[in-house]
Amino acid sequence: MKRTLCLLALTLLALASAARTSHAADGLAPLVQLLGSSKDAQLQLDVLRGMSQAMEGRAQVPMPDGWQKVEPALSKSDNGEIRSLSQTLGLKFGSPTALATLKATLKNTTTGAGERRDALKALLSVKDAGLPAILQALLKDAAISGDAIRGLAAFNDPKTPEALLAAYATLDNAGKRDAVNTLASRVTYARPLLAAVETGTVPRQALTADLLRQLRNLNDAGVSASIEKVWGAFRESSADKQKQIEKFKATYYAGGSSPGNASRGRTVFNRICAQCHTLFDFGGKVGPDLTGSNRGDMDYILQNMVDPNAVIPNEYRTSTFELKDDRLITGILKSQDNNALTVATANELLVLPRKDIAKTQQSELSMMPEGLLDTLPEQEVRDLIYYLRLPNQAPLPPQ
Amino acid sequence: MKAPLALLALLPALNLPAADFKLHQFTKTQVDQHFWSEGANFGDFNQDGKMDIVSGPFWYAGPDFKQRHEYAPSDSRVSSGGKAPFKLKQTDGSEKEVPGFEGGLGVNNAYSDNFFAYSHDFNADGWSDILILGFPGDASHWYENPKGKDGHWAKHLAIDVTDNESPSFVDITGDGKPEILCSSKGFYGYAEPNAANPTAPFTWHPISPNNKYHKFTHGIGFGDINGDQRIDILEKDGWWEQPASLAGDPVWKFHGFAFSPGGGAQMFAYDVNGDGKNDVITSLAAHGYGLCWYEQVVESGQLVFNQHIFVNKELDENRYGVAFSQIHAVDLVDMDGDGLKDLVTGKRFWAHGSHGDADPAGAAVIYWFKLVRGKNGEVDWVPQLIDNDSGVGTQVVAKDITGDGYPEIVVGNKKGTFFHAHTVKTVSKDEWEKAQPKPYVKPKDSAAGLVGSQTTALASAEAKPGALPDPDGVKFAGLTAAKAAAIAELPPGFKLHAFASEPDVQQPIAFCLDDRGRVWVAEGYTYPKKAPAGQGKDRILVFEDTNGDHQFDKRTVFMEGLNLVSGMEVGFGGVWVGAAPEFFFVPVSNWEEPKPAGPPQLLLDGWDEKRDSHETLNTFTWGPDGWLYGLHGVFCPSHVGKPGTALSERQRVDAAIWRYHPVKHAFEVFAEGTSNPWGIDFNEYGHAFIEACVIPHFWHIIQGARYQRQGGQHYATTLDEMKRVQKFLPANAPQYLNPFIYDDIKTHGDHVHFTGNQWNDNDRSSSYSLGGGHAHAGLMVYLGDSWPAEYRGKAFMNNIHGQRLNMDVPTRAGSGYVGKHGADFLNFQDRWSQVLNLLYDQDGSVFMIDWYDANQCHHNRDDGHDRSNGRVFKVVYNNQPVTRVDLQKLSDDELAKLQTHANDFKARHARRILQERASKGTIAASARQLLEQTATTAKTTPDKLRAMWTLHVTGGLGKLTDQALRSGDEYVRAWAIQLAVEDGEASATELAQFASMAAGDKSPLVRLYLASALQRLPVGQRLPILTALTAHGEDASDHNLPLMYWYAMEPVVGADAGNAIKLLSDCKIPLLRQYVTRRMTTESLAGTR
Repeated sequence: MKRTLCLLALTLLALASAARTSHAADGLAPLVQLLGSSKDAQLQLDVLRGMSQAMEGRAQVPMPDGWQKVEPALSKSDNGEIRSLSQTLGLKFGSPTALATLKATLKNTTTGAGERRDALKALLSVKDAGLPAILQALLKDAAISGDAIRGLAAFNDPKTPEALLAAYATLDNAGKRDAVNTLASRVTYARPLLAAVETGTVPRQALTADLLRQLRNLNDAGVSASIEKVWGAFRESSADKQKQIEKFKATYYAGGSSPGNASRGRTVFNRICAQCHTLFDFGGKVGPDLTGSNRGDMDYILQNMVDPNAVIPNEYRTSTFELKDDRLITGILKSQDNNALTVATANELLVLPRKDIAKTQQSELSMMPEGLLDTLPEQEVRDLIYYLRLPNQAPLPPQ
Repeated sequence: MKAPLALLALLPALNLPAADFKLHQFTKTQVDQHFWSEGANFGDFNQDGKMDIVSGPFWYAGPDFKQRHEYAPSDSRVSSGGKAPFKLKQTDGSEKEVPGFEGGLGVNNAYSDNFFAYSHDFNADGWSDILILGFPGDASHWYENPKGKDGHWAKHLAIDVTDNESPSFVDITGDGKPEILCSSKGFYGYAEPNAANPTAPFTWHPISPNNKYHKFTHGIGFGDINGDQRIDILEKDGWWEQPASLAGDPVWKFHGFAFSPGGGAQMFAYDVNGDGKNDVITSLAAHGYGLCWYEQVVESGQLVFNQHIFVNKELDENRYGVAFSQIHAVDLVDMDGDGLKDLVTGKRFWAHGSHGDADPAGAAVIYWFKLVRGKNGEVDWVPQLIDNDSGVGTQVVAKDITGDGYPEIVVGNKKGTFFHAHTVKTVSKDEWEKAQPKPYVKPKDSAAGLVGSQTTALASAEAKPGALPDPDGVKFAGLTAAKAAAIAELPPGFKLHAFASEPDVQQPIAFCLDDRGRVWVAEGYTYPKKAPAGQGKDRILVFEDTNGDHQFDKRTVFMEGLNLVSGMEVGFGGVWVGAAPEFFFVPVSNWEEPKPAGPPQLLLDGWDEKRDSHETLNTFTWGPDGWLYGLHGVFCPSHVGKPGTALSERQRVDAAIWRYHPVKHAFEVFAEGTSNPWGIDFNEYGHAFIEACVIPHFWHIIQGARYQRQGGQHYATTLDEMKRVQKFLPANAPQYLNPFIYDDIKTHGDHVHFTGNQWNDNDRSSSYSLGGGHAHAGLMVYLGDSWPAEYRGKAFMNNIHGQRLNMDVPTRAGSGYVGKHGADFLNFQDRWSQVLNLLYDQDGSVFMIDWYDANQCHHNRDDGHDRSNGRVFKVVYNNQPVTRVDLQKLSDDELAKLQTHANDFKARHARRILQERASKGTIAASARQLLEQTATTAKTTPDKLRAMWTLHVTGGLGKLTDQALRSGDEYVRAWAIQLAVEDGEASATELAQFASMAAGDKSPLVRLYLASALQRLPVGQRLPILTALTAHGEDASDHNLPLMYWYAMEPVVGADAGNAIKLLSDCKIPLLRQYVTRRMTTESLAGTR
């Protein structure tokens, strides 16, 4: 009975959408007209930006009246952003030339990185099937490789793990992080990733606590068994956090009169903290900026690292988003409307169309993973704490 | 390191020849008993071959220093922090004039105009002249020796601004001639005397960019750090490498290293351990504790410094049990002729006066520390006491003036001017050994090991071996209230009183002042978790000071059994209380001995009490417009409404500035966003400011504004808006969100109070020197009348990790304000200090409540707080007396007249009392007439505004509205707009006037108020005004206007595509054209996938 009602509702919804489609295109016509009639590049840019922002999270939109007439002129604008936005919109409107132009832009190494990135974003938004092969070929193109690696997570392509693992050693630190994040995005990628960790192609320490959690969230027996083999059984919520805090304090004090080295500590911070947290103007914005916090107090540092779920506002709780193509995303829901969700993951801000999502689950846990310190050797624990407590930035160690 | 065996191996004496057992003895001469200087020096001013002493306006002829010569006037000296002579009150009440500045012989704190003295022949005439560096930030001068003649010496400007607390006169350039090393006007650098034209001002050579170094920055020094034979400059946060050429004043290369986060005194580069590399010697905090050397080590090609602290606060932190505070002057000189330089230093006696001294009762000691090197690079600094009743100033000079190779010492400070003659006696080995300091053994009773009477309770972690020193050099924790008041650092003339403390007040979480100046305090014992019904433990107390000694002497328990109280304000015959989930009113029966007249009247509920209970409804404050304002934090999901309201009809509230009308009983979100604000106040133009934590802290609050949030999506701030945008939300999303707040207004501050931020020159300074950290509580815009004028209108807020009051300067910019960084006002120097709010009273003195706790951050543990303590402090300037008032007793006319009083406490309370009276009937016509007259003819804008606000809350502006909308004063026009549309309606005349102002008013402030007003008007009435506003292309770069226009515009765009395209075509603000398009596109695609 329930099922029938559901089906009925869906049918009604589909009818309603169909009825509105032509109306939708009509609504955009005055904007398109303005684009054509105005010679003011700033106004054109404003309108194109507004339209494309409103269409984020949409793969296809009926072509509005007049678009075919304005697209050629816009595509030849002196302004690079006008060109790339008009192609992005053209792609969504089903313009025949936009797809080819955008692919060419993405591949063209003489084009500016910004324009190539816009092209990739547009192609990703329509999930163009030809993308994985193009992206796999761009892994060594430093200007765009990070975006290419992150973009590959959107596709279930059997050649991606192999390509990423082959390129792994040549990537810079951020690229390595992106590669591991992409490989942890779905079960079919995670298996080769864990195999590569076992053989040493990817170092064990590359799988930081947040990635281990993402891998566990995949909920695959084989993946979980591999994790256990390398890292041992995981205790998601240790009974006695206070004991752990004392343990790490003792570890710190075991370092004697010079427990840590600030430069080494900074390296550890950059590896496991900086993708979410800023300290001294460097790092991500997923979590709070740590610079002005009470970090001179070791208890404060340890409490937050060992027991991040003790006080956790909804706004820092993680959710998992299971996509219909089996990708699993762990992140914080930043905003939403009818059409899409905006999600901050550890390494990017994603706009997920609602229609691509199979299942959403909010967890009671903070985006800040437990067990961060458990994966570190004792000296790195000391170095990190030492660095976090310093009032001023420390130099990076010499390369 | 602390083992006695290692120590013995270090001491060099055991195998010395007998003749080498020498004892160093010092004989003190008090050259002057008055306080003339904090820096004295030697020089031969009369060419008799004997060294003389210069200190303040005098030189004293050697060798006995008895004959005093006045080279500059002594009867009328003035510095930025004091004057000489000063008047001292005698016990019989009479006043006596005392020579010198007010120092050890007086009671108040003052500062001299001579912090450093040098002798040098500036004009190459063969006679030693005198150079005096004065109060930090003041000009420095040199005095031309009249070649032995009497009378005052000619005075010549050396440099107009001498910043930093330890400048010196040394050779930086390597040309053999000294320069003044200091900072000036934001730069580090040096001022070079003009050899060709000696009386011309010195030439300033900056060596750093303008990093806005403050005049009171502590610590500066010099020496060759990297062994390139060039003098580098040392400062608290690192060192500046002298380049190969100084031509063209290049910026020297900076190498960051936190030598002394709190800032020390004179710093030196010297090879302490004899390894061939120069190490760094510095004190750690000139007004706290700590002396150390940093061992230079080269690791993988990088210079690294390892810290070795050898004198600190605790006796067991020195091998020989030596501890003293305020190492504000250090000299590095070979005292015993062994070829190694030794340190001469001591306590700067009463640096900030008897109350500002870290250890006011501590002996004013002066030591030399003998440098001893061990075989394997070990270093020991063996303390040798010179004297225990003189100390140092900001300068201490050791110089051999007798020619025996053993330096003498001269010091000027608040005890006077002192000379220490140095003699050496050869003694037997036994006698020598007996005289040496002995290793310190900590007594079993650890309390006996503490310095003086200070009780400290630093976290146990801090005391363990291997612990870092306190990174910020904050040395106190767990003090008594009296002690805390005594050690807090305040500017000259201010005094901190412990008005009330445990056990009389504990866990003060909210407070307010009533119309008699009594202090109402809410005690929050239940926090952080709501207690089961009936088990709340919170109380409201009333404190009164009836005898004017700045301490309470009458205490009334008003109410008990409250549950999770977080906000409180008095007015309208009772107390307004927030205790999530409720907001209620408690009528008062007897104002002499306040008691509840009946049960609480529940007004609103739905305030979240389960999540972050440290940011629920708080800091209730009467606004100028007669509403009660309050704040609310981002991680408390509240749904507020009158009791019994259905969830769908409740107003979502998280990060918000809200208000409640005490007569109309209306509730509104006034502005939305930020993090967990806990402190709001209004300036004299009625503009509100709040502080925040984690995200930037300074915010100007604009009606209808949306601000950056620490987390989460923006929500609908009215029920109408909520219902209007719901169709754009999926059914499984929270139905209160608003997806059309495309961007939000960012901080109005141009700085943050911690390091590492783009605005703060990355890595230049430690957080400590920038204000202490990102957590704040309490905010007061000082509009009292007894503090110096420079504090009026400034925003004071507590910095929790910095244990101090920051002071920001709201400065008009564009349509609103930018918050600039002022000097910190008050430093508690106490880790446990946690002021939650502050208010000025009827005398312009300031009260504040201090939660006082070791734990500085919110967590949900019941046992996480020390429940047994809490304080109410009072800051009083210039002994401002307590006046007894009861404003409720004044007539309507008298209250109306108070609207022009210099103390806004009186104007505010008077206005609210008139509002109370008007709410029960009417007020005297004569009072209204008086107010109308003030509103139109007062000389100052604030007086006009106060009268307008008072008219508004006592029956309305009436016909004055029209006149005010046409006033020549932008503030008057702006407020006329806000008051006119308070109820969400405007007359046709007013609408026409708004449209005309939108088009032609030159004031961006007025346009801001129009934008706020539009949000309250029906969507259908907005178009003409919006069209005119958004045609102001010049507003595109304003901090607030584009987004404020958008918030008013969004529903217009959503409602009618035809109007939208017209707005888009006429709009001159690019961002808004983008938003209009985006909104139109979303509207037309709604329902499609």
